[in-house]
Amino acid sequence: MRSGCVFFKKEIKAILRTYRIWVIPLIFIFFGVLSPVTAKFTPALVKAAIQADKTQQQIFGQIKIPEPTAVDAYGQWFKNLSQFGILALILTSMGLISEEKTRGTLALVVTKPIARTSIVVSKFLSQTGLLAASGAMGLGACYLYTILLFDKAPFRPIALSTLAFAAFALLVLSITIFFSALLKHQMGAGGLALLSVFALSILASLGRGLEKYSPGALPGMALKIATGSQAFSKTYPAIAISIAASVVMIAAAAYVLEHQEI
Amino acid sequence: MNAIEVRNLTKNFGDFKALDGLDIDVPEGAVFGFLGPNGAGKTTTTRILVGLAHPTSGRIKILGRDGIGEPASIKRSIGYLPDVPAFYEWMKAGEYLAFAGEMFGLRGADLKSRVAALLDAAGLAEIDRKIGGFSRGMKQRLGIAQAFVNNPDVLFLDEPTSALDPIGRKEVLDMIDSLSEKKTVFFSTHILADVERVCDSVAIIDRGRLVIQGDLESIKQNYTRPTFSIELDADAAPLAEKLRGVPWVSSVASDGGLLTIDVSDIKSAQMELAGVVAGAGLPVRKLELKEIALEDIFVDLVEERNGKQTEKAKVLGGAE
Repeated sequence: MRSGCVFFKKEIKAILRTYRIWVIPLIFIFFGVLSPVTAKFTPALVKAAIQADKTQQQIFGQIKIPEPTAVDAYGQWFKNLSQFGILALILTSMGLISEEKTRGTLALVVTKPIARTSIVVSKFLSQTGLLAASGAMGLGACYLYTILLFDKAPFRPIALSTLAFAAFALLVLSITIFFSALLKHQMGAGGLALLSVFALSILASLGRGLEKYSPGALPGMALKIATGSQAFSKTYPAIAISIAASVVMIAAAAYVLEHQEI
Repeated sequence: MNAIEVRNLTKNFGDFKALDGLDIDVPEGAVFGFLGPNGAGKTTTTRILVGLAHPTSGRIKILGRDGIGEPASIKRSIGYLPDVPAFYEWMKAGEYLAFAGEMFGLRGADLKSRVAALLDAAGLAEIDRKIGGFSRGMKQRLGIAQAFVNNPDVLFLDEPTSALDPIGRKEVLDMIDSLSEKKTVFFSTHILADVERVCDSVAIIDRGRLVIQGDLESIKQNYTRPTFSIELDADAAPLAEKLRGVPWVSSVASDGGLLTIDVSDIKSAQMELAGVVAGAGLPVRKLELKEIALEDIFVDLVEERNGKQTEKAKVLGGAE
């Protein structure tokens, strides 16, 4: 337990002393700022493009583009989170364990009195902390720019929907860590984690009422909560399953590493 | 008592047998040279002993405790240095040693003084840059320092000098010499000169099996061929002729002024050879009993084994 704390402290230092402390928060802040800006100015840009082209004017002249609102900004934020946010999460987490194996740093650690489970848990907790802080900064940036660019911007819907999305992100992180523990090469771990995200999305779109319980449906639910078309309470089953599946994946990662040759 | 006991250890990678029923005994307090040509199974054995790899079958005991499955009590008593140690490059040497020491429960003043002593021994006390900027030799010395952080009873060093230049090698061997007093050191290498310098007992393995084991001096004694060499400042042929008639001489080879004499009775030869040579009335430059180098034994044994696969491994010096 004590050596687990020592390793966790090392992980926190690794975050603070390497690129991770800058890159991950900056990615989320970037999309936090970009989302309301895109929502605000995209309709104006589309309008200007149509007006500049006579042919397009004839085709689209009759279409009225509605004025953007804070809901559009939130929608954009979740689209970015679902694509680039998840991609950034996988790319920055896929090497957490596998890279230590290929570089050889793990061999010196595991020959000392530390349980391999502590290594997995330390990696998971520290990366969760970093991603949660980065996500919160991105959310703050998104909300701030939404207030600045739009008249009305309620905080509660975007906060609750980000929370629902975070449960999905937690599962993706634990899946990535599992593959990172299982495989020696981080590209393989990242590839399999990405495939798992696709599999979760497909599972959520199968219908038959499964989406209510499916973690893969959480990004879509988050979008609906942000736009006010779904109550947060409806996400409880999927959030609970997401958290439970995360625990299972981390336990599986610990088991795999415990029995693995380093 | 043996610090390390290995019995019938096997390790298969698919159809390939990396270890094929290996038996070794490392006496407590020995600096034990674990020798073998490349691919003999040295690293595989070391990795199994420190818990990084799992054997296919067999038994190991470290300090009297079952060593399979890397129990924490064993990990507390061992130190390990892989052939190319890798560190967190954003750390400084002192930070890494403190990190390693904390994992063994060292705290406060104890940790501080241990880190300072090891940095000093590694010649890294004045270095204030990150490990990422270290030379290979500096990393190797840091590797040895981290292996000693818990003041281990048994130290496993896997080819610690093989990637170093002569100066780096000397520094690393000096460091091992200075820190390993009263410890059992398991020193895996294919550099025979290093073994002759620091080890007092050895095992030679080839293709995953033990070829020979024992203390260095008895192996040398057992394998010393009773051979004398004589250098003359004259043609050696007349002396060679004279020696062929001596009862304890089994063969004589001459080449200009050089004579090589194999004898059947070393005691008689030591007593009488000088007299025979003096009686020949030839100018002598040198007369010596040839010392055998570990390298000669190593090459002979490995070549012999490769030629006679079925011959049972010869075990000396208290091994089974």
